[in-house]
Amino acid sequence: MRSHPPLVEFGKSGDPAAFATIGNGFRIIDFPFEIFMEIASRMSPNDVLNLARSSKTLRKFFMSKSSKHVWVSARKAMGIPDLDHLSEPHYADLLFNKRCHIENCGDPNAVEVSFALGIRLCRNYTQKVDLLS
Amino acid sequence: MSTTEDKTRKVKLVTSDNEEFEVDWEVATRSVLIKHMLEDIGESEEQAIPLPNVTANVLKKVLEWCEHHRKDPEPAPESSDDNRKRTLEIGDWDAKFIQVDQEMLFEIILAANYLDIKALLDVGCKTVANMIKGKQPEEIRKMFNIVNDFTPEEEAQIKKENEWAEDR
Repeated sequence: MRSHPPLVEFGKSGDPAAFATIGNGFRIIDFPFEIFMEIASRMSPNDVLNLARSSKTLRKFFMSKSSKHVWVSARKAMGIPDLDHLSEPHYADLLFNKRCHIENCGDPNAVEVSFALGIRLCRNYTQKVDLLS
Repeated sequence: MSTTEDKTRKVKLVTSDNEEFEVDWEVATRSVLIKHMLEDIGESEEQAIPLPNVTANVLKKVLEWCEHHRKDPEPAPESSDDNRKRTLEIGDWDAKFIQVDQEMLFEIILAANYLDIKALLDVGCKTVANMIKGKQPEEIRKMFNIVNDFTPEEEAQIKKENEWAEDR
């Protein structure tokens, strides 16, 4: 735990005085590291992905490889198998976001997924690219 | 260690804002921290346990939970993370108990962590996880008062960037 890079705002962690001074300004990212991990470990990979996209601090935290275990435990809790050749965020995005990966397409209902290639395509591009057959 | 006498024993707790609570041993020892402190001070019943990290309004709420769960069996030791049962379901009483404003919710989580009350920490963390569940980044920001420090361009870009960042 100790080697994990803390969130920028986690400076208060371990400072007992911080507890007594929680006011209206207390935010979710002000939680000490270990509590933040407790919360994150109860989320789905898609929720982790969305949280990681909500601010720079949260993104830095979750997109660091040292947060890998959060993603893995979120994924395993949903019974999703390992897939070693994709990074956890990539895998989560591939599974949960239905956007076509072709630049300038972005069809929000792309249903063809290649786990081998780590891409998701809409029907239109599946035919054109013919990668998934 | 606990003896049969302990069941009738009263425990005094003093909060950061100097309020004193007298509760049953069985209720107070839902907190592993308090349990250990009581073991340390032995049988000197008069001694109050100081809780410098908890205010009276939060402790009151926490003790309400401890009172309701005073007869709960000790939780089984956690198996490996992978096998841990990870439903977000919360019991009916707990769900009602945790219907508080966000500030109190966070205070309860902090207090449960400090006092080492795993089951209560679990209820709090599940509640926060449930609040995040299925929400888009913008909704998450709104809910938790997180400032969006991405430019619109950056925000569009990060949706496409899903690889680990370089560890610096």
